[in-house]
Amino acid sequence: MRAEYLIGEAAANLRRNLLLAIGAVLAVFISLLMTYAALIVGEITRTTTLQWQEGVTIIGYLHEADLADHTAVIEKAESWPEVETATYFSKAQAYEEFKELFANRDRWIELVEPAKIPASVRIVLADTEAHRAVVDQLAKEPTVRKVVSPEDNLNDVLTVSKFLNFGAILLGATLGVSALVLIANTVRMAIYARREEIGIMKLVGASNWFVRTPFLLEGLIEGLLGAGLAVAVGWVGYQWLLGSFDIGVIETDLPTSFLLSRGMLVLLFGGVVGVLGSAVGLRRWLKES
Amino acid sequence: MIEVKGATKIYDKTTVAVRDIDLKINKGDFVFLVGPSGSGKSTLIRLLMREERPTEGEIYVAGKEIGGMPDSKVPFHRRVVGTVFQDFKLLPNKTVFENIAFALEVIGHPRHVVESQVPKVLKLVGLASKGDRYPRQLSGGEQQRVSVARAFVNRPLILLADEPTGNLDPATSVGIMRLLDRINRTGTTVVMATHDHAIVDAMRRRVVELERGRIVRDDSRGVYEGLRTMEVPAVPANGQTDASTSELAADESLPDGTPMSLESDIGMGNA
Ligand SMILES: Nc1ncnc2c1ncn2[C@@H]1O[C@H](COP(=O)(O)OP(=O)(O)O)[C@@H](O)[C@H]1O
Ligand SMILES: [Mg+2]
Repeated sequence: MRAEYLIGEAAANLRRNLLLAIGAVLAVFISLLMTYAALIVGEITRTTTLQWQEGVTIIGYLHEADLADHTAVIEKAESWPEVETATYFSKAQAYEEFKELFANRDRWIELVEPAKIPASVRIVLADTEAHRAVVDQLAKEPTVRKVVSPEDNLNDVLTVSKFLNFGAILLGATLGVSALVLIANTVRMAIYARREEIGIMKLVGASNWFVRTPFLLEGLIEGLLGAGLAVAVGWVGYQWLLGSFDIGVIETDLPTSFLLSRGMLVLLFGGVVGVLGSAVGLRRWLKES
Repeated sequence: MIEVKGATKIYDKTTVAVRDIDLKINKGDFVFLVGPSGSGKSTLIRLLMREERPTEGEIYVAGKEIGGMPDSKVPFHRRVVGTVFQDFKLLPNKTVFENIAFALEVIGHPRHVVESQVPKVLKLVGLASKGDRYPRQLSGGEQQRVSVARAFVNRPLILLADEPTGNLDPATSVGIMRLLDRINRTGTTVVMATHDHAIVDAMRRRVVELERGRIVRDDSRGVYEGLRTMEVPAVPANGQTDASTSELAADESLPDGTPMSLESDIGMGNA
């Protein structure tokens, strides 16, 4: 009877302040959707970056030249102590890779002439600290047209994605705080609506938890509803984006276990926001008891 | 049962509502707290129910010091004391039955206890047929009976009443006093704040008089207007009564020790 009573009371509170409750649920929903999306985008960036890197840290694109000139550069690079391997990547190999990367972009492949794709030397460093030095040294070689370091670019990408993640989480947290305040408000309204009843409950000796639990449950339900919605919408939205835009080079296919574990995390967070919100709403009253 | 030791209550650091009160009340006593408005009667009641903490001093109720008791223990103290107020404090959207049942439900009594105890206590207060009414459908006296029933349904050791007849006409007040008397005769200690002279004079029970927060008189079988010294024996200064109280005295005619059928009525002893 107790559990029944407590849940019934919480549900009655929610119904009484339906509009406020909906507002609180929406606030939790929006803030946690941001967070969930940020977690997904962060993971996509991370896995994609890892795949691209594959240990290659420096690429030197070569001018059109004899194979002998190319080989000379490769051998020279290989002789540097900081370099572990220097491999030759011919035009043909480069074209194959391009086709592979853009396997589902037939028009792009049609547009690109194999001859326009340069051959390159790909260097794996023995000593990653020496990265800059090797890049500079390689750039001085006359046969080398341009040195790109995926690590530089990827670091940029990572920085940007970290920044985006951080921003999204910051925004999520800010909205989370407003969600918390909204929940605190609905609970305060519920307490106000029932102040007479609460007064009598305390008069006849209802234990504090018995008085508080319906309000904590109310907040918990609001938090979990918002979080559940966020996970559902985030999940479905992700699947939809995955189906609509197959972006070849980006590793978009995240394992279900990842979506699930982060979804759980978001639910947990929603529950915490809900309970904290009602605790804040109850606080002033708790002190009086 | 109740022992107040040197209790002082100061509101807002300035208003001394009760000052250095020493008071001992035994189990089964019926005590009137009398005194002019603002003399500290309600404050003393609130201290006894731990709605307020004493600024100084100690208050023992049923063996426990309640003044310094942590808030988390207060609910258990409240189950030992029943409380009745001038304004009844009934929930307007609950029936009489539900109002009384509420007091049992929120302290965790199962349904079968509610279903057996509420009708008993309704019968005790003479409202057996009105369980389905809402408070607004009852007279003031009936509402106060519901309030007494709610305070008593849990079989408290002590019943605290702050001006329970303050909103009632004299005839209705008599009915409430009979009820409190019956409850007292079950062994329940009753402490009642009042400034109703007629009632106090007719009942001839212990009278504790307050004036500006101090106890100025404590008569074991007193009247409202007694001599203001604690040394004075229980001799009434004047025995004035009006119509309604002579009715109480004559009609009720409850000589001391007359057993009432309350025990069998409501199944005492299994609280
Ligand atoms: N909550 C309160 N805050 C401040 N002063 C109070 C409060 N309650 C009572 N008082 C003051 O304490 C004194 C005693 O009041 P009270 O106990 O209500 O007396 P009584 O019930 O005998 O009329 C009065 O001066 C009153 O104004
Ligand atoms: Mg008063």
